Amino acid sequence: MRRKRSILPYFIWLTLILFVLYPILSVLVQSVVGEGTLDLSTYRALFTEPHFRRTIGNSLGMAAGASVFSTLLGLILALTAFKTRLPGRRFFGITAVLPFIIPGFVNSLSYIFLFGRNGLITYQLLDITWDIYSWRSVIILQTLGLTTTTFLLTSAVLVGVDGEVEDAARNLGASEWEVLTTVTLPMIRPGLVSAFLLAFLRSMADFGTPYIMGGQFTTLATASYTELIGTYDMGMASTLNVVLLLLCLGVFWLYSRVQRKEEGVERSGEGGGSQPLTLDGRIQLGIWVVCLIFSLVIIMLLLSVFLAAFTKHLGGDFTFTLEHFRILPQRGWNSTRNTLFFAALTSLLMSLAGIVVAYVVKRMDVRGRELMNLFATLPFAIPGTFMGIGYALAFGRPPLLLSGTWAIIVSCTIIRELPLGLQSSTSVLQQQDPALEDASANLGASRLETFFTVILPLVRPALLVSALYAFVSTVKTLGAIIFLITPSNKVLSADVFEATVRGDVGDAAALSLLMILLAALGMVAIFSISKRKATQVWIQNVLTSRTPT
Amino acid sequence: MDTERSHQPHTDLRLERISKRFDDLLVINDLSLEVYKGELCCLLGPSGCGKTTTLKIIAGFLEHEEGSVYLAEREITDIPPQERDVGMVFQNYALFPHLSVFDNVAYGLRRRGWSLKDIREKVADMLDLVQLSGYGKRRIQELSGGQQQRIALARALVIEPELLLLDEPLSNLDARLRVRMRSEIRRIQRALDITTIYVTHDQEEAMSIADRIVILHQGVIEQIGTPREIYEKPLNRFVADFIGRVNLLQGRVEGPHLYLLGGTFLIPKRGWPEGKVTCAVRPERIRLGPEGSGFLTALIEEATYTGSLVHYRLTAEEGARIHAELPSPEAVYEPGERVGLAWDATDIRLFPI
Repeated sequence: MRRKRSILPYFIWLTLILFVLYPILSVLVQSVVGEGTLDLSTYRALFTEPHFRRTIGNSLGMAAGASVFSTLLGLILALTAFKTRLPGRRFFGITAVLPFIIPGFVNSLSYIFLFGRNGLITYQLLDITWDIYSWRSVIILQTLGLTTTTFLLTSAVLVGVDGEVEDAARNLGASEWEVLTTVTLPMIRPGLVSAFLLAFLRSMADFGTPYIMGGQFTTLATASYTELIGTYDMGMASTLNVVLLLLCLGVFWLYSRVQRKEEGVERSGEGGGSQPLTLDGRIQLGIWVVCLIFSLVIIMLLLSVFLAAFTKHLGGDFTFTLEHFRILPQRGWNSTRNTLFFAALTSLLMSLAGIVVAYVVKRMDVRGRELMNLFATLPFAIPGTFMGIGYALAFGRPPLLLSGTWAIIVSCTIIRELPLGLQSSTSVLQQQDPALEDASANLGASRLETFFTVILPLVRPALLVSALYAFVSTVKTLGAIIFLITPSNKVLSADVFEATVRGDVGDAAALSLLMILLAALGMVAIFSISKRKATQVWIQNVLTSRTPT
Repeated sequence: MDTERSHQPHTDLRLERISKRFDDLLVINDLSLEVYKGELCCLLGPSGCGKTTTLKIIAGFLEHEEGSVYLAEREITDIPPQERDVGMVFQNYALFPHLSVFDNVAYGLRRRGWSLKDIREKVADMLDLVQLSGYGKRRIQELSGGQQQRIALARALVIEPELLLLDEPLSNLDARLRVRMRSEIRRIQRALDITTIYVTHDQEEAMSIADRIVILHQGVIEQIGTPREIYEKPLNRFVADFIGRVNLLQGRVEGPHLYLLGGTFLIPKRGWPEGKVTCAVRPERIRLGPEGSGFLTALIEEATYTGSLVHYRLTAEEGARIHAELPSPEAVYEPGERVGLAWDATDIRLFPI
């Protein structure tokens, strides 16, 4: 029997080629073409001119520092939350997830409030002056932001450790410290390595934090922005991004290898959950203090946004005022509406696209499924600035002139979140016996009916979580859309960014509050829609966007 | 299996009045037990009876509210699991997934600070004993269920513990492998003469492997005895019903007489309860004869031929259901026939209702 051929795969391919491949190629081409001919001068400049060459080292160094520290911090927080009975462990767990709702550049803003030249702590309290704008600040802030990811990933694997295996070690004479070092930590090592690599990837691709906090310290992502906005050198901006992309793809390749290996290690769940370790008192005190400092810093950063938004002049005049919120009706309202619209549309469409692609990849017998999967997952590894420039190039000229429209922004954010939706749906479909769909067909349902009556209900819970995640993530996004924004379609993240760069601290804080509020709503929704355990699993999947094998 | 050992058995493990609660639920209720040196003692009971909990208390993984644990004359109640000298095989084996077979078995020796040379020798001996020599370099994930089981056993035994605990060790294996591993475990246990507690919910497994069986039910010991004692002389209704198949019939005892379903039996032995009783009789102990013979009459509803045996389902007076099993050559009766039932007075047990 030959089934009627579906046009669905062709449609997906067309979309992927247009919105993934075409922008990538546009940047590649732009980086090697000048004046209509092959021109490698930008690459030559990148590797010979010291200030460009330094950006590569800066990017790698920053990523190495931030990922090492955030992995350590995430591990300590996860150990405290799940492997000790220390007081406040639940509170630490919550503060570890808090940075998720705070956009990275808002963190930078608060950091300046607290530790900057007029900072509450450095100037008002301690009266010291130091240059806050440096690579140290960038690494500190990225570490704080990335710790949410490393904490969630580490927690998930830590909770997955079979308590009986640890009991077996005790039974064979291992002390609690030996249980930790010879059993628990080695068992979660693949998880730690993926957390590290993911943090590395995110740090390297980050634009907001190094741009605001870096001062003289430039990275590939920030330099590409300066090239484009400052000197309109599209060629150099593209080249910087191509190099950044190659580095990111390398890390991503390592990451997917570790993930695949990790899947091979079978985790038994039946043996009972992971039990707390009774570690030495000094060690417990040590990790407790680290957690406390982390939590206090996070809370201070969050509170300082409120303080800045409601006081006349942070550092100078602490009179309560609502005047910063006057910006809302003028500029904020429009941006809020756009942000909401873009984020909602993105989460809706990326869910739909995710399930459709997952269905084709997992259930339809079409050639090139693996390649389709790869292309749909690829945006996960593509830095935001690369995507932004790619879209600006690809759709800033005929035949597909989209620049200035909301469509260019939304298609960019959808493609960026697509790996997430794809991953959620794929993992559900993978666990599901295809016989279920055969049974539906056997009972007379058409393919479309089976999709709506069997597959969609099964995938829905997973998809809902990733949709909300995409919502939060789109609210916060900056690097990708900073190149696509025009005065007519401003969004909150860009407003905050501009106000920060301009130095309108109060306005930036007021707008930030609005963003945090939106992100927090999404976050609360994620935690309330499904049972806690299931949510944790999905958040982990969502954060890692595992490349389906 | 003979019950009488040539020498006086001496107690190796002693549990004294153990109680354990999970929140408000009393899972172990005032349990006392003595396990003799070198014996294999089965804890048998339905799921939730407290057998695994008892095992975890002995291993030291669970704290209990009351009672004491003694091992080899030493009180270990408050000693952490690390220092108990007890080897344990977990139901899911709990092998270290990140270590090789060799490193799994060597784990306990390393914790005891053995030299690498001694470890190599000892591990090789152990792998030999469980018939997996040459598997040292393998990853745990490469092993079959049966092989993982053997490695779990080797890992627990290599430290030469005073006591071996096995928690449903065969429940993850298929039926055929189960029978083979059962005798394998017995062989190794006898070879090392190690005191062993074996938890299972499978009565056939317990009967075939144990020196003594402890029947646990709702955290209380119902009976302790050899497999034969447990089967032939159950102390109460629960044990009779739990082990093997049994007919439980309602009757009445008055003096030396048992009145049961319209028949009257003489029960010479003293000490049975008076008044209303439950009479337990095994299906294979019931004899069938022509109508009018035996003590009572019943109608054959169904006869099922199973090869060596024929299984009868009968209805007696008051609609009571009775099951009987006869060796095939003696089973000459057909459904619809009325037959007489008989048994020896020594084959019944009487329990107060």
